[in-house]
Amino acid sequence: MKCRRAKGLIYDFIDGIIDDSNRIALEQHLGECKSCEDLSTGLSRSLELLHRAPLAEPDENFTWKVRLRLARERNALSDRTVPERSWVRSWNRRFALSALSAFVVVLGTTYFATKSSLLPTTTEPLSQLVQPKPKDSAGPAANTPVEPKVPGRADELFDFPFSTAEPVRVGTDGGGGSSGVGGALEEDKGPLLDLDSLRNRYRQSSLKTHRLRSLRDQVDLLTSELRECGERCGDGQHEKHESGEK
Amino acid sequence: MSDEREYVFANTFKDRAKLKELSDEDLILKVAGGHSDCFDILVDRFKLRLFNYLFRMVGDRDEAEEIAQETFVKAYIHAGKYKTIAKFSTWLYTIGTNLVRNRIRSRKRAPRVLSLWTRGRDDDEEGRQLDLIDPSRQPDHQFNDKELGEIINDAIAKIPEKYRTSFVLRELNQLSYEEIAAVTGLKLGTVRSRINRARNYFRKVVEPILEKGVDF
Repeated sequence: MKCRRAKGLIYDFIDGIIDDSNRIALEQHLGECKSCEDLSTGLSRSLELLHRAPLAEPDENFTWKVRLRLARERNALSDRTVPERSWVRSWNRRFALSALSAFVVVLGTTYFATKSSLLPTTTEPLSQLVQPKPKDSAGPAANTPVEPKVPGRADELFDFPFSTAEPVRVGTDGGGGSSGVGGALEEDKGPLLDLDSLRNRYRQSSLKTHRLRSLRDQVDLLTSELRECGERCGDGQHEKHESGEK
Repeated sequence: MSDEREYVFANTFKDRAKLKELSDEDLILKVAGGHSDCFDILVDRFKLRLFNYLFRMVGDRDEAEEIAQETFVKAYIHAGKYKTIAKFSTWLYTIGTNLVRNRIRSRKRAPRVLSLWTRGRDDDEEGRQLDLIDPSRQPDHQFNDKELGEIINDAIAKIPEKYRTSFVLRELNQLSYEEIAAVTGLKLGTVRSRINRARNYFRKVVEPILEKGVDF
């Protein structure tokens, strides 16, 4: 038997898992090999010493200390759950606030949308409503796009709140001694606020709204006629209705 | 009234005696079910074994006691996670081993100021020899239990940590190879080889004392 194999068997012998044939072979090898014999003896003696060493005793109040620590842990755990609950509450509060604000935004948007769609209607065709504005070459608003003119009721409807046709410069006081509103309206200071272009945009958007409104009315009218026709057909008056129309 | 008290006491005593007959696994399941009284029985059963294992691992009595307490606390808190596929002792040693590893890791990061006593501990340096015997001692000196315990502790401390766990569990706590593999998460062959290496380390440290003829 080689020493390497013998060393493996020495550990098996220590663990008590060596079989008889291997034990006999090992004993034979140990009788012949001094280094393996020393290893076996050294291991056996040192481990024997280890097993003889007394066990260390824990503190006599060990169990009580464990109980104390458990009580502390339980308290700590219960303390830890409090902020969790409050966090849940605060999260709910935050969610409720977000939902409320979203609801308010939706409500506001709906209100303004409804308000803009409540514009009065006119039965006149749009081509009659919109007329090109005569160009005024002398005024500073000569470069502005063509201004649609709305007669009668539509004119009142689409009338822009600002009546001035002059471009107005709005700016801060340049420090030249002028102050107040007069200083702010000086032509050579501050950015240009083109009221004509704003008015044109306002009127164009109003016209679009008006056109949509009239189209919707026409659709409603056609729908009601179709419904009436359908009701007549359902009552067996279809032929009569058809012949009457003819 | 006194009869009633005696009856209650007798019943409680009887119940406790019955509980003590239960296996470790049944007791921890009862703990998980809310019977916290059962945990005291488990603590009483395992405190000596667990404390000694931890004491040999960390080499400091107070620290070992603290880790042992922490181990029991963790076992109690996580009793619901215990599964009967493993022995309770294996589970408990696993918790203790993990706590020891964490301690050793943190100790390596922040070494102690007073390091003379713990010099060489937790190192993987091989072939170190520890001068365990006072030169003034005469041969055939009779060591008492305390001195023997200190020598053993110092010798175990010289075993590298990765071999020490398996060695202590095997030689001092008498766990089987399979149980040690479960505790350490190592393969059976690795456990076996580590234990044998640790035995060799231990022999190299203790042999000089034995050769000098010191009587224990």
